Amino acid sequence: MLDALYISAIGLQAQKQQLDTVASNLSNVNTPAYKRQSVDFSSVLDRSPMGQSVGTGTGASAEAKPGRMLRYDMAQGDLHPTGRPLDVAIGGVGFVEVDLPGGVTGYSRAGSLQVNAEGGLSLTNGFALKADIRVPGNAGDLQIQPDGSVTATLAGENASTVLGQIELVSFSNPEAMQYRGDGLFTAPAGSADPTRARPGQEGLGSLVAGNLEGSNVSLENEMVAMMLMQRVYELNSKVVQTADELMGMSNNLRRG
Amino acid sequence: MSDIFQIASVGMQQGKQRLEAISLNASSASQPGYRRHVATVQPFSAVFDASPTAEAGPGPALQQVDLHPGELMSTGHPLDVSIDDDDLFFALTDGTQTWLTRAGSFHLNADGVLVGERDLRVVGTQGDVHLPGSDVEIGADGRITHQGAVVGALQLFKPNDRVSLQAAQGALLVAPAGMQPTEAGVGRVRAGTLEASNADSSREVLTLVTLSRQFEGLSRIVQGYDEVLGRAIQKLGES
Repeated sequence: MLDALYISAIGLQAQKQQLDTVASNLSNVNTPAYKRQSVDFSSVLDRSPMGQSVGTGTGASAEAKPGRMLRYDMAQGDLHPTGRPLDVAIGGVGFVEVDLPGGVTGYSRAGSLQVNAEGGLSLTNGFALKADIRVPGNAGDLQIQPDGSVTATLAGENASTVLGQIELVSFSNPEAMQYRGDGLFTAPAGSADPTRARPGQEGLGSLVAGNLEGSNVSLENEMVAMMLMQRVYELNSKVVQTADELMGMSNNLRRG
Repeated sequence: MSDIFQIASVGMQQGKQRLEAISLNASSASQPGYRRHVATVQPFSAVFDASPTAEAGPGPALQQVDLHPGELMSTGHPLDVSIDDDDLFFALTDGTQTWLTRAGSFHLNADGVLVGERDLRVVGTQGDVHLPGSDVEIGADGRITHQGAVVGALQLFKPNDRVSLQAAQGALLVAPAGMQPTEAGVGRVRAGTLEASNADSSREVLTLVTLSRQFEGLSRIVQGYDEVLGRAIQKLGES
């Protein structure tokens, strides 16, 4: 009976975690380049150590793994035109590298850029791009080309000048990347160095200026998932209730 | 005289095991590829005869599995695979033991090896499946291609005795009678889809209701018999 209680408790916990990710997906449905999250169920429901012998029934030791394992759906979101020349979407595979505090490299697909106080390019959340690009104060008509080169017309000149080059990186296994909020991913510890190339080369996507990538959350799928987990939660709570009743009955066998 | 207590105790312990199976099914009701556990109902006489002492009770129940296929869910994830043929399974291994599973929710581990549930390695036609990245396509014949080049293939297995399959952790199954790899072309897989759990909430709740009533009945029997015994002893004292 205790086993049944513990197992159902993990079931309830798993559904709750799933609900957390649905909530996060739904609240980010309009966040540019947001990638849908889902819970890896087997990591939540891992009940007992491996190598259980045949025929001993189900695992009696009920232990949920600490920390949930999230999966990120790296599918491309739709591109939405914004008309702002410094909004850059990545049409295809790849991430833009940014500097995070503590010497960590962050990877982002949300390409809403701005010129920061030092004249460099940064994301709108303030993290500077790794690409070394200096925009002079007198430069006009700043443009980002599909191949990643950044051009501007300097004061007193007619032709545009190339100021720098934005490169993209790609990982062989982007699903293993860790999300740290704010549209930023970090590479998992010990992962191989990413492939770095100009946009449009070596299988990387090209840059689309004046557009932003939408999130890849589908409202319909999240809604169905939410209804399903609500009912499964209910089912688990009924099992808990019954296990409790049965325990109460057996404890009351001895009267008086 | 304590036979009645023993009978009730066997019934209650079997009820406990059935409740455990239900709780597993309920907690895994949304785990892809999960197969319902069914606590084996042993004939009452067999359980009763097998327990020479009143304390022994029935041994650990075998959890059998309901192999009825689950519905297909579309996920769009390139490494999610379901099997069209109900008799075939994927095999996962940790190097020493091999499990069968219908859960085709695979991903790559840090070494670029295709792994399934609990980071167990997926058995391909050439052993472990090493992939250059997760941007691969899995064809209906199980072949995995990366930018047009074949980089591996999934292997499907057919258990020698489907009925004797037993439940292990999560969506894993154990084949005590062994299994055979299928030949190329037998069985088709669908990438981008997952098979749902086949736990059925209405069935579980129904079992739950009958179980709790049965348990209640047994507990009444114990209480009633206890009362009868108490009265008998009291009468003995009076005379």
